[in-house]
Amino acid sequence: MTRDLKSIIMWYLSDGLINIASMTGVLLLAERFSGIGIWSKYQIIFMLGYASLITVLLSFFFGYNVDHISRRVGRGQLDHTLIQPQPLWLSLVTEGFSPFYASSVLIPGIVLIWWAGSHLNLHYTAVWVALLLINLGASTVIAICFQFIWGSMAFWAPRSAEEINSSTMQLMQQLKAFPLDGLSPVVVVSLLTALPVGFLGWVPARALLG
Amino acid sequence: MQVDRGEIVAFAGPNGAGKSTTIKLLSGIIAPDSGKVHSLGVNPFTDRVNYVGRIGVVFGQRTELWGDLPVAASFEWKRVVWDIPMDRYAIVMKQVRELLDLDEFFQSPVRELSLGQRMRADLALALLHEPELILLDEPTLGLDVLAKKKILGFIKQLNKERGITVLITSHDMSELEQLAGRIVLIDHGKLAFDGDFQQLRKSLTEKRTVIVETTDSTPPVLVHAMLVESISNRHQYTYDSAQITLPELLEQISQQTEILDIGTHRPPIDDVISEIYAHWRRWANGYTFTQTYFRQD
Repeated sequence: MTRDLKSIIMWYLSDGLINIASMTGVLLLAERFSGIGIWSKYQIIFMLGYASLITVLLSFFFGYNVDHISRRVGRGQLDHTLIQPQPLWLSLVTEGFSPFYASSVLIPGIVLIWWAGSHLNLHYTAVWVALLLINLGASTVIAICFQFIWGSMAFWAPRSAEEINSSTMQLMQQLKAFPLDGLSPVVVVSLLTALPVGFLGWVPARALLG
Repeated sequence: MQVDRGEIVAFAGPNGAGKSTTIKLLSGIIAPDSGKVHSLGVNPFTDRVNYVGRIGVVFGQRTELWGDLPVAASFEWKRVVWDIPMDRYAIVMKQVRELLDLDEFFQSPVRELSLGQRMRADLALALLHEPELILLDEPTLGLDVLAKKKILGFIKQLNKERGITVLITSHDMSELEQLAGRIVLIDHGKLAFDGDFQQLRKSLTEKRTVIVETTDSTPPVLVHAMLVESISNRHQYTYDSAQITLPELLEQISQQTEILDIGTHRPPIDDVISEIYAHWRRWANGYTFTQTYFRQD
């Protein structure tokens, strides 16, 4: 990516396109049906913006395959991390800090939140912004824990589970921006525990939108 | 198993014997299920953070270099993470760059390096913080003869000049024999042999090879020796030196034909090891291989 200016531009363009494309589905559904279930169009857009920022934070702080820990485990790369003279968490956090990755989603994410908020008459007070940041932090921690729990499968089956975090990440990306209202209690509980995508969009959006 | 400071120990065994696991135990990456590991006076697993600052590890099949970045960036990264003082860093960098010829590719991205170049850079990186012990897990895997020679020579020199303790695993026995005086063989996680290469050869086999050139193209028929091949008037035999001596064999030959030339050699170390591994495979079911088997001499 950092080889030359051309590579940087190409990378940002392609990454931006991929991320915009991944949002388009939910956006079009909300537009076509003026919302999804009891959620209005702008509430959905707010949730979409919030969920996009989770993607940004995951890539910001847990890039370089830290958010795909199964790859590191399966490929034996964790051994290299463990021969560094510092605690494992410190190595992972410093190696994972990659502020340029996913920054193409940062601006669209903020724009979506701002756009939705302006139609929902949100008051951007310091308390509300602090709550937004706390929620974003908590959602990111839940997402990375979820990735680590599934990624640990690679300790038992390095070859076959090496890419398991790609599937779990994809699952999170696809489901995190959908409202869970109207689903059966069993499904809702499952999506808040075993597969906690509800905490990456739905629950925080409810809390922040009141 | 005990390794003294300043020793070079070759660590070998068939696939799945536990060589890499032992390296991981000694690196503090994993803890033993039973038994104890002590290295440089500490428990590698519980004292990992401090301990790994005193050792260097090279995993031959994987690299510690940052793939997307120039080689130089990995060295700079190591200086910072290992907190190497600038003056020491400059001295060691100068040494490794010269001895391992890093200059030709030092600014190239790691992805563009050949296997030999990558291995040299990995070895240099492992030595940057002047470790007291280096653990090398198949460091010459896939390298050409020249690259192997360069790396082995460097390890030997390092051991001689700085007294660094070296534990090296490889499947190439002749390479290990060049490097180390002592060889430790393991099988299924158990110590199977611990001694020098001479002992290893002697303890397992007394097999010898003799090539005789005679005036006659018909190979002489010998007692206690087996004809391996016969090309025109050159005949190759194998024999067990415990059963018959070389002079006795030559006497048998001279009774049948005239000897023009003779040559003898012992089996290469790779053949000896292959024989050991074959034994282990044959006796895998129910047979426990013990050290005494090897040490009967």
